[in-house]
Amino acid sequence: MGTEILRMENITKIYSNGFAANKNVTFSVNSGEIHALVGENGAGKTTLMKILFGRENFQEGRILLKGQEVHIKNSLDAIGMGIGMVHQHFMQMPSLTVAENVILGIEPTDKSGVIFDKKKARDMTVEASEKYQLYVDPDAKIKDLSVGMRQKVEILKELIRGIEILILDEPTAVLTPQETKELFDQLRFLRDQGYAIIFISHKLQEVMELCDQVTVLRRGRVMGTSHISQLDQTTLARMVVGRDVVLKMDRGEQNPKEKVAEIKDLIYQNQEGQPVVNHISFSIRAGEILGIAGVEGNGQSEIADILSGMKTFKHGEVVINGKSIKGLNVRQIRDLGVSAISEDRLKYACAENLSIRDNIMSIYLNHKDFNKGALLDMKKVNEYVEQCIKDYEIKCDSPDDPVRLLSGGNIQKVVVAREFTCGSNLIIANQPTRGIDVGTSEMIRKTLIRKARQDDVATLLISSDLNEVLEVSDRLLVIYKGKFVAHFLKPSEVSEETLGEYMLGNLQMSEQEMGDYV
Amino acid sequence: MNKVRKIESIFELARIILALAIAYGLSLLCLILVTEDPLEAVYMFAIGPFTSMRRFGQVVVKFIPYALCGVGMCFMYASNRFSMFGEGAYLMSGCFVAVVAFLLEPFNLPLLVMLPILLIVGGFFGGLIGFTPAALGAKLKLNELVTSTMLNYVCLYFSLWILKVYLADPDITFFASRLLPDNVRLPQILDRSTIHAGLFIAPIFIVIAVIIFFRTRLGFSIRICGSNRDFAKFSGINYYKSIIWAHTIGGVLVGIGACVDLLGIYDRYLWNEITNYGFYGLVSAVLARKNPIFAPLGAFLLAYMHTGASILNYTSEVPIEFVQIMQALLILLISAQTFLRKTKNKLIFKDSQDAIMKEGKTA
Repeated sequence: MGTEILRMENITKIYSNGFAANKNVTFSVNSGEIHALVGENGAGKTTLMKILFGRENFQEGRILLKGQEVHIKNSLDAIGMGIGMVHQHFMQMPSLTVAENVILGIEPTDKSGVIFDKKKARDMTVEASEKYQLYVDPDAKIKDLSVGMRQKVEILKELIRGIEILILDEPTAVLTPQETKELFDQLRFLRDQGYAIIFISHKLQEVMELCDQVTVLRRGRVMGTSHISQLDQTTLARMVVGRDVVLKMDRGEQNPKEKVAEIKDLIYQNQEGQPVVNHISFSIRAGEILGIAGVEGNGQSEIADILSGMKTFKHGEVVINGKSIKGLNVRQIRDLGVSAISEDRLKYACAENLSIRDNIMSIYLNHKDFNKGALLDMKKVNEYVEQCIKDYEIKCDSPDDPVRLLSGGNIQKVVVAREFTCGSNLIIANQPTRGIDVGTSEMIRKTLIRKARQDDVATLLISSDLNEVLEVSDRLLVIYKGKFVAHFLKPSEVSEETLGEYMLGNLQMSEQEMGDYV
Repeated sequence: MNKVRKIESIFELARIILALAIAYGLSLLCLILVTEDPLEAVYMFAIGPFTSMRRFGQVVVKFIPYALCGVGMCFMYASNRFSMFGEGAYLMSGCFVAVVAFLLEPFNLPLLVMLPILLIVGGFFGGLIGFTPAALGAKLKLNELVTSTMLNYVCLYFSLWILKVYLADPDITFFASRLLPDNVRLPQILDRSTIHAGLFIAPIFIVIAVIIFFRTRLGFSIRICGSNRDFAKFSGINYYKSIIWAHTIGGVLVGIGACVDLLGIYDRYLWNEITNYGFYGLVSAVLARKNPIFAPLGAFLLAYMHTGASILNYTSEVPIEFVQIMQALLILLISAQTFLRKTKNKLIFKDSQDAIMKEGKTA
């Protein structure tokens, strides 16, 4: 283990909408170690790394490189100081060769100093790839390479610029198991050469396998930094998703009725052609809340997107209220009685610059109650919006306030008010309480239960908050690598540890144990 | 969060006022530097438009088409897909309004019959020019900005061809149509000024447009699509349909503006170059921050500035192009999103920092 090479001290970053992404974060890395930075989406990992790489400014704190305070203004600065970053989406020119990509920006020239020396570029690439044991074909075009190869090129590109700290943003998300193993060997090799590597990941198993140290972020704060050897996977999982307090919900009597949604043999492939949802079948009944638990990126978001019409599927069958949704658009699916809460609130669930009224009305524009001839019945619209604001306790001065000025919790109240009151009988709730204050979270959970009990609404609840899936769900499925690996009929009696083992793929139920969930 | 809201709205207002003050201040400074009698020049530029009924009339007749074009451009601007159909729509509408006016001349219909017909003709051709790039963008993924800019030249030369072949008056020494028939000319409503009945026609269409914008599902859809495309899709709104409608309505309003302008102040159809009215409409929309209620205010400011500049032009040696500098400064400062942002962010940061401190203590 080497000496401390990088120290980010008391970093506070507040975005211009008032959202605090990092709160007083201190993070340090030694040379010759692989340091994992772990946390859920929105925990502040990416923001912290963007600050380090000079792509975001910050308001408080300082960055020390080898004990010296530095000011990193942009990515060029960062590279100049020996910090390199491999992004999740590679920054490459597909039509150029590997060698041309590697030397991009530091092109060697011939004696004249003007003309690009192609041979020298190729030699540099070959030399570096041997030195770092990252074997790539310097003459191949990037567009012909596999994802794993392209990643090697990306790492090589950083190394050739003489960096000492390498940031990898979820590098294994796009790799096959074999490629992942190879990447790990290369990273270990680099570590032994004295490089400091920052490894951002959700996949706790990989972190346990590869890294020396781990720092866990949750809601913008550091939950702790620790040696991997002093941790086991369960403890780490608890640090990441954590149940700070065990929550108890009064769920009342459940009384499931007819099937509202039936999913049969659904397959969804991502752009790389990997099956993210792999032959999945299940159903949701009226009056029940079906939970899906899983470490992020195991296919649960894709299921939510398919059910709400945001993603199309080729293989399998999805029937909602007796109608197949294959080939239908979002409007048609919503008209079948579906409403949805998106996990990415700002991207899909609201228009930040528009008023609360506009945001609530977005799904009701064709609703007959609100239309009077060619015009919208503004009296009814305003009454309805006022009612939403009152019922869901949205804190605002008036319905004309743009949503961007509300806090995260209040924005989610706007979303929930819109989606819960539209009379649908299937609610797709994908991370409904992510990044939201305790009070609002509790209100949303209670409303979900009330809708199921009183209005016989079928609910699909997807959440990475263990408290939530265990206490709110009537039934719980656990998803791992696009397949269900466990089914619990009494989720509130399941222990965190047991659930963790299934979520991480260490355990799997047999067909008999899973019982009838289709 | 209440504080953030207050800080934001104060800065929004401060930004527009400050932009106006800086642009005005800088242009007055230029005036003082370039003219021999700066006091007289500043007086002519700033107060000149209000010194006589005739001059104020010039402000008003400019204001009428600017306001209609400005409200139209708000639709395009709010859809957040830029299309520069304004010039083409203006020329085509003017040209076909003239054509139809001459075609119907033999019937000698009263103005009250002719006017609705011509407004429909103007609106139709304006809408068509707004619709075309948007529809091409939706169907063939062509960039509206490029197609609309090219289409403007097609419109210009097409209207020139019509003027040359069908409308031109061989008995006069300049290039213009015959005299427009009396039964289509809008009456003047004030003696000793050019203010015409268009002043009553324009508000009707502006009010209709504002109602569409804020009170119909189409208006809601357009604003939602322009604000967040992903959210529109998630809500089940047809994105391209909304965009096409936004641009078509924008074109219709520009067309009506052209029609009212032509019938109000011209005795012949004689537009033989890009009129820039579409662009002035866009400037009004930018000044109004996409809100059609405020677009007429922006249009009035612009009309006042342009009149001031032209008065300056014929009372002193300052060229009319001078006003372009001022206009550019205004647009630059008002559309600069980050103007004053640092100060604003510092205040918001301070506010949030207090909240974090409190949270830290209770946690």
